[in-house]
Amino acid sequence: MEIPLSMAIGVLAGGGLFLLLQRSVFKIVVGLLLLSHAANLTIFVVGKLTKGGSPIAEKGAAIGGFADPLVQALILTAIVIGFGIAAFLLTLAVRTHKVMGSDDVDEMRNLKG
Amino acid sequence: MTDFLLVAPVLVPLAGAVLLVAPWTRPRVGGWVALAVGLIVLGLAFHTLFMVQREGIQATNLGDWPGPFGIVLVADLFSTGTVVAASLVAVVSLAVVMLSQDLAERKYILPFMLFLLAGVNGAFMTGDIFNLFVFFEVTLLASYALIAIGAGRLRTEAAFKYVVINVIGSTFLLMGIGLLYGELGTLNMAHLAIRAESAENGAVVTAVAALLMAAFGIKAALIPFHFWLPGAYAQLPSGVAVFFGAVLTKVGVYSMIRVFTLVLGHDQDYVQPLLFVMAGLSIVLGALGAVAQRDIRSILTWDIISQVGYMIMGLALFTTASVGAAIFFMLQYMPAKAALFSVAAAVEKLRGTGNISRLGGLARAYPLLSALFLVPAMSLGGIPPLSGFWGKLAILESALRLNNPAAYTLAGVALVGSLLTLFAMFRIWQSVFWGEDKRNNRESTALSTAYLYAVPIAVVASATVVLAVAAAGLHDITSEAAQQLLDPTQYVDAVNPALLE
Repeated sequence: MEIPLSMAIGVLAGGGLFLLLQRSVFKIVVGLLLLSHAANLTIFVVGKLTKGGSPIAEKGAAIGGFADPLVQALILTAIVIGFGIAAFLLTLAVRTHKVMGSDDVDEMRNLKG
Repeated sequence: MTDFLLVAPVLVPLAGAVLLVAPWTRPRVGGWVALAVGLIVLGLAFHTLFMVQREGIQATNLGDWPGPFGIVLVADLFSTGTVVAASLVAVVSLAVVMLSQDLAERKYILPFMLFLLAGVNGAFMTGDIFNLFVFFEVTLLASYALIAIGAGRLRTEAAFKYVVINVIGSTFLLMGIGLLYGELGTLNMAHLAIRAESAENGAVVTAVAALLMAAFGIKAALIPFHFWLPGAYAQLPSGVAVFFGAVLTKVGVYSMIRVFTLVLGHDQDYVQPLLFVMAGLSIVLGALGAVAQRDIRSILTWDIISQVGYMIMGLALFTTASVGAAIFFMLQYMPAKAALFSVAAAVEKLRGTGNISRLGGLARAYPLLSALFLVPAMSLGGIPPLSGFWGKLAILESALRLNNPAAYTLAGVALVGSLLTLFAMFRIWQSVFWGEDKRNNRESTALSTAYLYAVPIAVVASATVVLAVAAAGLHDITSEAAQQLLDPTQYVDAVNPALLE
């Protein structure tokens, strides 16, 4: 399963980067969300995938064969944080549209270093 | 048991923020509550610092899960030193917010300032690298909110750019941490320090180093990751800019020093040359950018990039003396920068603009305020005997001790940058404080407001003088802090002695 998942990470990261380079504010937001999904999947894959293993080891059972619970906890945390950021980003995108009257980041030229 | 003293720098501001959000807290009272919370955190932080100095590194297990399995908070000299500096700046920044921002804006600013302080202190204290990511997010979410307050077109634009670049940085950080866990099988910094020595796959560790460098570089605004900084900071409410300018980029610097010494200190071949170049470029280009600006706050903001360069220079040289010098520089720099940003806030309040070509003659109108600008400005420019001079001296000395051409070049670059910084500071001094008053109507000079500002500013400005007098004492602390970083034995022993076997 590692190889197809790694390819999925590549597609997500590539798609995210492509959208990030677009001029539309909304596409940039979607691109950022795809990128964060790529990061979550990366953690999932590096945690050594196990098939059918539960994240809890039976008492007295031999060590091995169970899924790493820490990786799942990490992704869960990252997803929750990601939700918060996504909500904020979308609100900000709507606000940007309202204030600027357009969806084009090329209009954002008022700030110069 | 979880040690309250180590959790307090995170918990107390969080509790304060919740108190401020509560509907029964009046906005007028809120400012005083926030200020009290800041002072409590500062007191506790000082207490912890003295305790760590006396008894060595302290660690506490959250939820009583021991060592590498649970999350630990660790107070070593580096982390407590930065917590003290950050809390001091927070108190001053809260006071400036109360003086500068009106009641309606303050209602939203103050709770987020406390959330921000909780996140920053957590990032300093944590001994778990994933927890570092979480505290980064706490910090960032609060800072997103602070930068987006108010509905202006410029502020919205600044907020959008700031959020986008920082979300990208967080993604890099998350990926780096994930890869690190996959390779070394642990997230505890003490455990990582031991396992990184014997990492089998060096390429993965190098990839992690690259990802983390980009992530922390964005937070620290190192060149070439600096471009978001000037625009964003110019749009902040002026009191908030005090905390952002003095502390927020330093969280990135702190994490860089922490991770590249303690955790990934063994893999220097890839990191060191890059840090060298980034430090040198930041020092010179940041100072050049500062010279080119026409607004007090923009000059000070560009100067941040240059000063961050000095800290990273200390890290890049990678000797005990140079890392200690970097920590020294960072600790003395935070109050000095806070004082300068506070004076900028005062000038903006008193004169309604920060544009240096429309200001003038403030030294005559507000002598006290001007003196409080001049002292930290000279410290930043490296004029002896102020604290900035000792910081730069220590970094330069450690560079020259290395006796190799690259270090000599970087030392030369640092000297040029220092001269440019001094020039930028004197440009502000000359056009804002000297010369003729350029206003058309001169009825009000609002002396009482200036004196009110002088109180918090005097606290941080005097810190540069105190640290100059006590430079030897601070130097002892920071060199010990550097030893604790470069030889992780003490740190690991404090987290869990069983790891050392």
